[in-house]
Amino acid sequence: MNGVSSCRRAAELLSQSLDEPLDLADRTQLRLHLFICRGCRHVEHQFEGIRALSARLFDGVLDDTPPATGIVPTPHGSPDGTGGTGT
Amino acid sequence: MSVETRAASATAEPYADSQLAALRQRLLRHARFALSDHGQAEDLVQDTLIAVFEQGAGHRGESSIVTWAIAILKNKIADWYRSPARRRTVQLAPEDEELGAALEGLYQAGGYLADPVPDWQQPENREEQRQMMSTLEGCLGHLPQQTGRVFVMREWLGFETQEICERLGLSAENCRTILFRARTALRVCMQHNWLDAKAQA
Repeated sequence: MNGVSSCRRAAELLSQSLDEPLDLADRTQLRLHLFICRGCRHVEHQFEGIRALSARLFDGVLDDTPPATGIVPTPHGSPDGTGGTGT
Repeated sequence: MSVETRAASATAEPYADSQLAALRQRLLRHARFALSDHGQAEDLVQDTLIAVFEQGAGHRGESSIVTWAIAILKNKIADWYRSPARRRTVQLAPEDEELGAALEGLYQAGGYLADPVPDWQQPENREEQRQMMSTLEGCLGHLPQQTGRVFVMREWLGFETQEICERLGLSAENCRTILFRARTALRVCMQHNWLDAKAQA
């Protein structure tokens, strides 16, 4: 059962829990992991933040602020939109 | 009948051309969150404007017209995704797949986070909130096209994942993975372009 309690699996379950109820085994595994892992608790908080912020953006709560430019999508990305996915 | 004519006849005060143009631009910006086809976005925005003025925009204040029009647009886009005429399956482009590989860099062998993840504080004031939202919009624009579309169908149009899979011809596992990657990419993008930028300011 290698990787069962990994941060990667926890993030997958966190994302899934925003879309559908988790079964008992997954829920238990996730709660245990979050209990011992501060980084993943921050990931949980950020996923929730993205959902809340997206809702405001999509429903037009924003003022007429243009989208930010010069965005670097990932640490290795470039602002020209190539997305840092490499070759 | 043009939209302008309808606007003038349906409202007590004629809705100025400049206001109409601004509303149209605003709706197009929203439509493009969900639709990659520019012509399709234009068509649904036009339908929305007609519906807005037929239903009497004149009884509403300017700011509520915008949010009301966006709500109408949202329904029209959702209906379009549900219409049988629409092409059912999507093809994931190489960049949608490459995103997964790029995000693997967040984890060490064994799946543990390679770097500490900082906490997000709530924005302190309205200006900060605007910056945050503007950064999110920029980050959304950098998601690979299909990945972004699935995210918007879920988070704006409110589709259940099962319906997204059916409408787009994706497996449930595929859908989960795409949403996971979208959220992770947005999280990382926000961390670098908002949180880190704020820390350096």
